[in-house]
Amino acid sequence: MDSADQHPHDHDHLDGNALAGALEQFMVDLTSARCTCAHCGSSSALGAALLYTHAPGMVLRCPTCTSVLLCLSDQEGRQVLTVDGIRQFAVTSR
Amino acid sequence: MRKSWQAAEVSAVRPETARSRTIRLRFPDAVTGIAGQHVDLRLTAGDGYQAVRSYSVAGWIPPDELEVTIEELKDGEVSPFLVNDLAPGDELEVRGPVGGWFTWTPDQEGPLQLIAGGSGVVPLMAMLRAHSGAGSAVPARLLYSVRGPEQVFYGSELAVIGQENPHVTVDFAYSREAPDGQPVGRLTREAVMRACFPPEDLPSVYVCGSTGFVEAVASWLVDAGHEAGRIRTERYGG
Amino acid sequence: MAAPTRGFTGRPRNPDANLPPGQYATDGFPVLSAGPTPHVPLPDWTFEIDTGSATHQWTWEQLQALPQENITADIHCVTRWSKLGTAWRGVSLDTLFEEVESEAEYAMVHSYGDYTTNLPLEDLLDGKAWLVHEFEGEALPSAHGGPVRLLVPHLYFWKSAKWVSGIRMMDQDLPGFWEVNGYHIYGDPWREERYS
Repeated sequence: MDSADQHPHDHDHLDGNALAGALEQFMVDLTSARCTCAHCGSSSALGAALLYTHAPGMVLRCPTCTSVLLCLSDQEGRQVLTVDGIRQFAVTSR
Repeated sequence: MRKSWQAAEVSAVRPETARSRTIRLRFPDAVTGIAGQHVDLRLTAGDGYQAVRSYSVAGWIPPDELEVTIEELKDGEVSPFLVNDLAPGDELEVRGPVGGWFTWTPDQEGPLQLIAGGSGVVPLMAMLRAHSGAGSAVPARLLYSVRGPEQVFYGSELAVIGQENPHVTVDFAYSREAPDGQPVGRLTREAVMRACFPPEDLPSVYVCGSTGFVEAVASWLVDAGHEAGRIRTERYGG
Repeated sequence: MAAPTRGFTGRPRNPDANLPPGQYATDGFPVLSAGPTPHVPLPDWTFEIDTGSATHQWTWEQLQALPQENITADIHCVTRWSKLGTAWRGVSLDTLFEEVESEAEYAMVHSYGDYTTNLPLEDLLDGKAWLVHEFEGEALPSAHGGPVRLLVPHLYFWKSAKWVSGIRMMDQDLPGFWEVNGYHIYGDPWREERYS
């Protein structure tokens, strides 16, 4: 069968499914991960960033430039996480 | 790591000071963790209203229990209930222990420097207990800033550790009221430096207390030459 | 839903009164904030309406020279507290928009700091919204959004941006800070429009 009919871009990709094992390495306590701020490029442990909790959701800000790294809200059974302020997560494998 | 809420039973409570108590929680299964971690407690009212608060773990009692110490906050919504009303046999929903940043393990290199402001001593006590429990020979110092002797948590245990463990030094700084012959007054930069390992010893430093306390102490430490990356902080809000 | 915790009630909640669904009345005035509190000296403070083709700017002194109104309103926070009968003083947005020409139907409100929130323009007009600088007879404290915040009491209080700095007119209703994070694009407390 010619899979190019379904996937016109190329023949050399897999399905996202195949990431499952590799991504499992991120199923750790992310507060010890290092994250890089998408705004100023500085990197710090998530656990050392500035967390504002007196708000509809929790807002984590960069300790260097105070721009928003992530926002996490508990919306009655739905957890909404926005991470567009983080360019990169790095966790150390063990 | 435990990822979801589970019911834990209050297996014992004991007063720590006039306005705080230690609560022992029994989990359905074995519970392990790292010194410095916290648990989230979730309380549900009759109408479904829920409140979640985080409390540092003070110690582990293998295999299935841990303790938290909670201070009653003036005008608090949850802490007065936990300190005054909760009783053995009650159940609480618990998430955790969680946290991987403000933690210490006995295999960590270098001296251990702990600096506590008030109830900020709780996670640092867990570290000191882990240090003693592992029979660690790493030098450890605790500087505990507290309003007065009546507000001290874990007083008798700290006295024993300070006297009997040659690797541990415990110093108190009293801000309002002190035992006879001891100085009283606001914590100063000089007092912190006297009670701390010098920067050249490359200590791992943990500071826990109110936001104002943590910020003042951390900035003094950095001014004195401690590398910012070796200082970990935990703020208790306020 | 989890079983109730024996003996736990939480703060007194008053679900009756004339409150929107799911709200309870409080006598306090909780301080909510998603970031550091900006401190803007009054001589540096300005408020700007940007229509895309023109900008209109007011200084603190110019704002004070405009007609001032006293407003009493109930406010409703999406975190479920409501505060009844709050008293404010400030300038109606109708007054500011008198000199503004725009076909755009939506507004993005901007604050000192990086906060934003979106509203349809019609919710800012016809006596429904104000720039306020006094609360209960005193200068508005910075913790509550001073020197100047927006007051739009008929919508959830996150729409009443603290430390307001300006309004940018938009042709479409784009989401602001909380709206991007899953909160309702409009936020009517009486229809309990909390989440998207």
